[in-house]
Amino acid sequence: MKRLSAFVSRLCSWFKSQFTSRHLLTALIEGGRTLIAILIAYLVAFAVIGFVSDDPEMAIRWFVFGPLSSPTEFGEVLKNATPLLFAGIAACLIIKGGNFNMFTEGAFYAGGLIAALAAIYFDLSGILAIIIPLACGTLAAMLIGYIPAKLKAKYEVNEFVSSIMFNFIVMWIGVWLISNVVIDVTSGDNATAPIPDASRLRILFENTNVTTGLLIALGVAVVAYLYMFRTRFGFRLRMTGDNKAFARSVGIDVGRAGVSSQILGIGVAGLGGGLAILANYHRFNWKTLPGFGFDGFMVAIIAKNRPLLVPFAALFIGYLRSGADLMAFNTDVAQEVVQIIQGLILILVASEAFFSSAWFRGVIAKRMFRRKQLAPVGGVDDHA
Amino acid sequence: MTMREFLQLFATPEFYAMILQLATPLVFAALAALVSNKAGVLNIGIEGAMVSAALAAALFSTLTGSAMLGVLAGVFAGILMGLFFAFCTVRLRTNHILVGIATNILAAGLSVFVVYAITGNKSDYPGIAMTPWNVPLLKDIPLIGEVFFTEVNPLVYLAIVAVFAVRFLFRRTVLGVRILAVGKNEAAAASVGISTDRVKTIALLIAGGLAGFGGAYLSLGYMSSFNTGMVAGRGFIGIAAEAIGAGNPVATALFAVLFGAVNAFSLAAQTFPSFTIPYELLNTLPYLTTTAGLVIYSVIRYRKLHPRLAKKEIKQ
Repeated sequence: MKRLSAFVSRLCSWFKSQFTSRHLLTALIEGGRTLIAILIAYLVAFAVIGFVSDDPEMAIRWFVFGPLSSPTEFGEVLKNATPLLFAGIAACLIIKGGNFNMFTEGAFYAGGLIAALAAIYFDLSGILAIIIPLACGTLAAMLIGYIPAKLKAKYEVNEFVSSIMFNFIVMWIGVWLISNVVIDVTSGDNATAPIPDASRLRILFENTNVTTGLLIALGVAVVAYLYMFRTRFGFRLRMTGDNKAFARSVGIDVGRAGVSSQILGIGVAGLGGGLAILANYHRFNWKTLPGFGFDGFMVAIIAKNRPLLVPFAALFIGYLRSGADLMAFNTDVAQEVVQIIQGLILILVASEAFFSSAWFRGVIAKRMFRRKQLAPVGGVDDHA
Repeated sequence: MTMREFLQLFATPEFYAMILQLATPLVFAALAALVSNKAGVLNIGIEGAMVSAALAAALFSTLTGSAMLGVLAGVFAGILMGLFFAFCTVRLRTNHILVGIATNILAAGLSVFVVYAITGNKSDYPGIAMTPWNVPLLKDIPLIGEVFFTEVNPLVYLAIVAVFAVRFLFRRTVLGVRILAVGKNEAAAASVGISTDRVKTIALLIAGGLAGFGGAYLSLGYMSSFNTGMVAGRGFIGIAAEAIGAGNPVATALFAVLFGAVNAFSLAAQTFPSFTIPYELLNTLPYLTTTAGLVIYSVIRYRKLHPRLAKKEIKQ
């Protein structure tokens, strides 16, 4: 009982600290900035659609309102958001550790392939039929991802370039496997044998493709938050990412922190790949990289690298995707317009100068807190 | 494949001509990486610049009926991407890597989008190939003439010229020295009156133009159409070549040629009927060698930077 009350009071003080006026103001500013970025990106996209489409109004209607038109369509949004959620969490972990390891892309591929193979060839039953393949996929991705991460920590091999090379290597080996070694000729395609029913994830809502994978994804987001912000490992990770020299000088093993952040991120991506395959595919048949790695970085940036905001960012991108799919299906505009939006949002949100909090604060301060703001301005004492 | 066939592969002039073809885009990409790196910017957007340049070149070559104008359009597109990159990093002060990722996403999406809007398919757009050059007299030299002076795309020569032009830029011109100064220490450069923003922008524009040549070569020289995914990580391989070349244009170009050679080998080996390694695995070769080269270079650099640490490790 005592522990409970202590917990409640801690919770209260946490909420209080989160919602004091200053925090709230910053949050509002940052949120407003993201909204403006999204708005600008949308306007550009509409202009592009208007330029290429014969019936822009119809296209835009499908694009914006299509995903919300029925529960089935909204299910597609959730389905699209699930792998993005994993990718976003993965990118959060990696970016917060101060690295740009792009192997999340290859991890999705490797995780998906290994999970599919484990599901097919181990032929398990019950809950094990899901857990074991996922664990295999995750571990395989982590093992491969360890190489660029360790090389970066030890010899300062540029992890960005090496991880991209690893992506291509993993992809080609995977394509070789599914078109020669584990190919199921009866499928009429370069694909594995069908994934057994026991390993397929259960559908959550009727008439949709939303599976239990979504719940696992949300769980991963919460766990990642707790890890990053409530454990000493997470603290070391963030410290290393923020200021490596400082972290080293206070005795943090920066090499280990960097490697572990990348490995964990890649593991999350591998899990996401495995879940994506078990949830939505009958066979593993990816012949190109799925692209979730790069998308993950975008999701993480939109979510300001906060694991608990990642689900919302992923939901938004998932909504964009399903809208674009519907638009491409029903009108003459290709769904790639979504990549234009994504690229623009990424740049504007990540920009330090574009409607920065400092800029916003200046405007708001002038309007609302003029009296407060006037006193210290220009005061030399500030620096004393 | 017997040893003899293997050696035969290396004896044919076609193989060396293929190296030349495959190395050219890599050399351009590597030089683009070099110029931006000298200005202190890790330019990952090269890949995207090459994609958009390849598309623009193909588009304008068929539009105007002239391959040369197509190449110019490609270079212009590359420069535009450079300008975009510069605007985002210099003006909006966005993280370089994120801008690079965004540029690549944008270019990949936009190219498919444009191709689809024009043709209704999403994979390719035809272009008019450049006419290759035959250099009189020189082409009659055995082997060398066959490789370097028969049916060679003019952009191949331009790539060689560009290597030395970049070398000249950094050794003999004011702009080059300014770029170096900005890259080495931005604050110091600013303190002696260099407009760092402008110098950075110019460097990124040059890099964009170089990447543009690489992209235009891909769609109008190496092939005669734009295909989505035709750049296939060449921009990144160029960045790796630059990293291994340690800022020296000639060394950078040589490493780019090495990666081109591996690429040529992986392609040539696929055409050998008796060669049993499946093509999917051969396709990993360029990426494997790039990684290996990067690792070897980094290890050597590490040993140089930390001689005492390295010795201790050897003892253990």
